Amino acid sequence: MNRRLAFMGLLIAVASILFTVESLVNLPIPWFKLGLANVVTLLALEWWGLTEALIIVVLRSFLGGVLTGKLFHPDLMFSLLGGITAALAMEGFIACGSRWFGYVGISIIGALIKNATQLVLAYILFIRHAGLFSLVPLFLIVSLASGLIVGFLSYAVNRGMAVSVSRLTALSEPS
Amino acid sequence: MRLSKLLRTGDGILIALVLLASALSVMTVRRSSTSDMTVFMTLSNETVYRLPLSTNRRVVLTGPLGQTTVELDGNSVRIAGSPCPQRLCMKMGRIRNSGQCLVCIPNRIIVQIIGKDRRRLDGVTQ
Repeated sequence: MNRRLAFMGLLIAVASILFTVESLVNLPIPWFKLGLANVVTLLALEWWGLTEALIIVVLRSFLGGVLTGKLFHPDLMFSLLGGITAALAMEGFIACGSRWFGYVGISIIGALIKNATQLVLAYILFIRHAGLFSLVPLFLIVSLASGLIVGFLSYAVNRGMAVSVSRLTALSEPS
Repeated sequence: MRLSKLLRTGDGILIALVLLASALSVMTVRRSSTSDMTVFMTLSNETVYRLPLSTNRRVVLTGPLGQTTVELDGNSVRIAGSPCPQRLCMKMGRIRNSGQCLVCIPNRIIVQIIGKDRRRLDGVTQ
């Protein structure tokens, strides 16, 4: 239990840093996030499960908010809700379709769901204008690209830790 | 370890679907049709011409300095010729969106596009 907590803490730290770095990238839509932190979510889903992944998402949003000084900023809400829905979607697809999907596919789905959530949130909260949806093709391409990157990164990290993975999954048992 | 591979068949299908969806959405995103937008041309603050943006036509306005030619080409408006000393109005180039305008102050001419959708932006820097 303690080892799992420690490892989760590490992942949360990494995710927060990714969040901070992402904040530096500006997209045409304000408050949008690239979704690189999905790497951590995906790894958490792969090593432990949905609960842990959701905890990490919530905590990384807040910690990232503190790091970037945007604690009560829309950035946080977008990251939080986008991350939650992405985690749920990814878990759903992993659980049902791991026969057909690999890392890339799952991350693309995660990116799509996350960006879709952000788009809808932007519409509801800020830009109530149908013109917002003219950005849909852009967001599809961006999701595809970031999904690919996240997929490769997650796969690489997982492979890189191949030796310790068995010890990691052992972390999910109470020790 | 539930995910074992990087790429599987479902991934390829997914990527193809997303590419297809983005291609489709690029084509179906609706822009205001040009006939909905009206070009207003005023001389010394009196409206002398009111034409839909979809016209293809050259209009000559005669102001205090001389003749200014305004050209509409179905999608945009520009000032094609003007007797003003600095020709700033010509350097503005083409305008296509509602709210944009071309102005020739020496010749007292304003060419503005008014559309029916109320835009959130009331000015764009170029």
